[in-house]
Amino acid sequence: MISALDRLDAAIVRAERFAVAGMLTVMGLVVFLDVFHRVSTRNESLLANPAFVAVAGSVVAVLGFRTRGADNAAAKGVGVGVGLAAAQFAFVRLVPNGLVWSQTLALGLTLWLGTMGASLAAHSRRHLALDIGSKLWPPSIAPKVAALGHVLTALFCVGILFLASRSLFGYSIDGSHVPGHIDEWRSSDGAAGTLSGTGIPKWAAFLSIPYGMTVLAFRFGLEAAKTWTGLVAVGGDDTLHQLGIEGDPATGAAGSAQ
Amino acid sequence: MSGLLLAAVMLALALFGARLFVVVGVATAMCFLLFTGDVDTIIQLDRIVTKMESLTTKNVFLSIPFFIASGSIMTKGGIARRLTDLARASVGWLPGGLAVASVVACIVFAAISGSSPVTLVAVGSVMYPALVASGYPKKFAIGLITSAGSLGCMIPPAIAMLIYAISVQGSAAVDPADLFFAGIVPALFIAGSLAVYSVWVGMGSPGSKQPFDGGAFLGALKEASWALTLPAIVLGGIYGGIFTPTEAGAVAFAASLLVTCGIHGDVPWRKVPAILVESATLIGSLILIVVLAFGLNDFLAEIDAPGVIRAWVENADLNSWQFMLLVNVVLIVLGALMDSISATLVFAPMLAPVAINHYGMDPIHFGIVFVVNMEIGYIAPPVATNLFVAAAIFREPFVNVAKAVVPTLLIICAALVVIMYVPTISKGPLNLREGVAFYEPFPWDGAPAKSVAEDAAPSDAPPADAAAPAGGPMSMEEMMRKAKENAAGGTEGAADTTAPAAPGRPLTMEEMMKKAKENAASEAPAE
Repeated sequence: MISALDRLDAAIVRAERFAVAGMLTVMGLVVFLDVFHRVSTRNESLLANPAFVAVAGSVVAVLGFRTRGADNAAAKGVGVGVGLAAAQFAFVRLVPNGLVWSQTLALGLTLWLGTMGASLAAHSRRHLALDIGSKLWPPSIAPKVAALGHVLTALFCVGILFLASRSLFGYSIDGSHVPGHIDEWRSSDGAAGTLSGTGIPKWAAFLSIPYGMTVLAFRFGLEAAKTWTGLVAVGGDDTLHQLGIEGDPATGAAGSAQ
Repeated sequence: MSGLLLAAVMLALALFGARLFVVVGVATAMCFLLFTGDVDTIIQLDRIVTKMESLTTKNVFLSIPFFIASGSIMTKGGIARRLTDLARASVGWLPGGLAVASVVACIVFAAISGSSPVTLVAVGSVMYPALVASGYPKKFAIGLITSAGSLGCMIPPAIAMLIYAISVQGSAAVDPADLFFAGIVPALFIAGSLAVYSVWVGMGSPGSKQPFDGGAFLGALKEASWALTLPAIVLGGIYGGIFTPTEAGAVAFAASLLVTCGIHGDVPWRKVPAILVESATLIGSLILIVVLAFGLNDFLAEIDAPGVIRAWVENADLNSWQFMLLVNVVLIVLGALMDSISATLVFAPMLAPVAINHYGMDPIHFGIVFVVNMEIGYIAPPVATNLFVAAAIFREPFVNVAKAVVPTLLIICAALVVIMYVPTISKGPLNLREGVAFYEPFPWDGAPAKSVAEDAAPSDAPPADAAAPAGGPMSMEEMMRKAKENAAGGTEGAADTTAPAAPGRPLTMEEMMKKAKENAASEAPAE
């Protein structure tokens, strides 16, 4: 039973890893392009001049290729500079108003990124905890206590899932239906209930909360079962791991942390 | 009784090893249930989710994933080695040069990563063995690097400052760009204090000096030049008015990919998705704590926590310097007992309005003082992230690391006192940039210090500073901005949603239903 759930968990992890990498890329790209567009269309900006972009881009690219130790750094650099200027010229004309919706879209994706990241953090045991218990409880009962802690976490997630579902789908109070985000969007034929300045329904962003809570509850439930049955050891979530720092002191290479 | 129950539940959760986001979430839910019991329970709890959803209106938050991702990308490459080489080549000739180089490397690396623990790991893992090999006492080396690593809180783009700006949006708003700018000199002041301490220790270690080598310096500068462009692009872009701090995150993200993968080739492009997944995992563990703490902020605003504190300090008859001293002691204790992000999210919106509206503190200056306190929280035991990290990377018992940081902790505390009572250190450069008097007085009499806006505008003009205190009368500009926000359906901040309506969502039906229910309940006994 647990191994089947583990396989399901692994499949969800693969999909989530793919999704978060894609979302972070899209978020960064659209916000960066919006800045690039604004700078490229500002009259007083040097970067609004394609000739300047070509020259400056070429210089930076040549230096970059030289640092990299590439062959024909000058030719490649000039190619990149001219290409950049051409791309800028085309971009500004193809998208005359810029990507004004970029930050709203990115914020909507941030909610998804955060909840999927949170569920990935549950998978890799990265959620910070004030783990006093594992040092205080006798070894014989520590796994049971830790399992109970995971159950409590899963129950909390179920609670938030319930509240998030009410917000999304609405709820009844004294026989009357209080509309949720989906009702609001549907009843206005998509005219209301959208993220500011975009046609993206709010519910599409807010759906991330019940999704994330479902997966979190599943993962902490599974962790509880595995801890209770002794399939995983108690503790072992050292600070470096929880902070996402997989550094090797010998090389100095490090991951990241907030 | 309710308070005891809350404390007991928190303790039980900690003993059961519940995750931090659960502790924050349960605390939020219990506060609503125990202390505001006059409204339907479920409707109260709905506000937790409403606050989570409000993340989509907080533009400043967008920069955090970007800075985390760019920090991850840069640190996976060989940036730390390049910067430490440059630091050694530039200041290694001083007495205690290697130790000073460690401090310098921490400053520059923090400007790239924006994170204290990462700075500690990246610089410490390179410099600690070198310091010990050069004959520095082990205890000194651990203490210095662990403390200097905490400068990541202060050097822009500092995630701790972004969290502060988000947490006080509704009560004592500050512009993150101003906070970044104001943090530079205090950070350099703290770093300078640590450098002086290093020189003093280095004087007793004859082997700790190395002669200056111009060739080696130029070589190291050339090697590190691309890495140094990143903070230059980010800060230059923000203060040159090219992009906002939020957009700077995306620019930093793109630039870090270009430098690390495209130019240095330290990280192959095919490994970028894995780094992004790592970043997302970290963002995920952070975001749940943050969004659940928004609910707690909402509760604190509803019970008017700043008002309660204000009443208390009025009763205690504290003047401004006494109040600030008390605030700092409380924050240091909190920082030692809680993780810095949770402490900022919960206590900044409570304390900032009192300090600003009641004692005339400048919002930016108070923000910097708060962040320095949180920096101390990173190294003040028992709950000190950097101490745990240092114990792990230096393979030393936690107690030894905690003892080792005592001298540097005291130096940073002394620096905090100076930064607190000399607001010019933080506000001076900002005043200069705004074209007003450099000197910024401490409001010893509790009256508001002469603000930038007041200096810049005629005395009868309304203050144009976006950081105007929420408690005072609104200027026309603030009213216009508020009206625009309302029209756009966005409500930001902690204290702006004291009514249960969800942001941008017509909940009048819910309110009507709730009212009807309350009316029915109140009429029932009469019948």
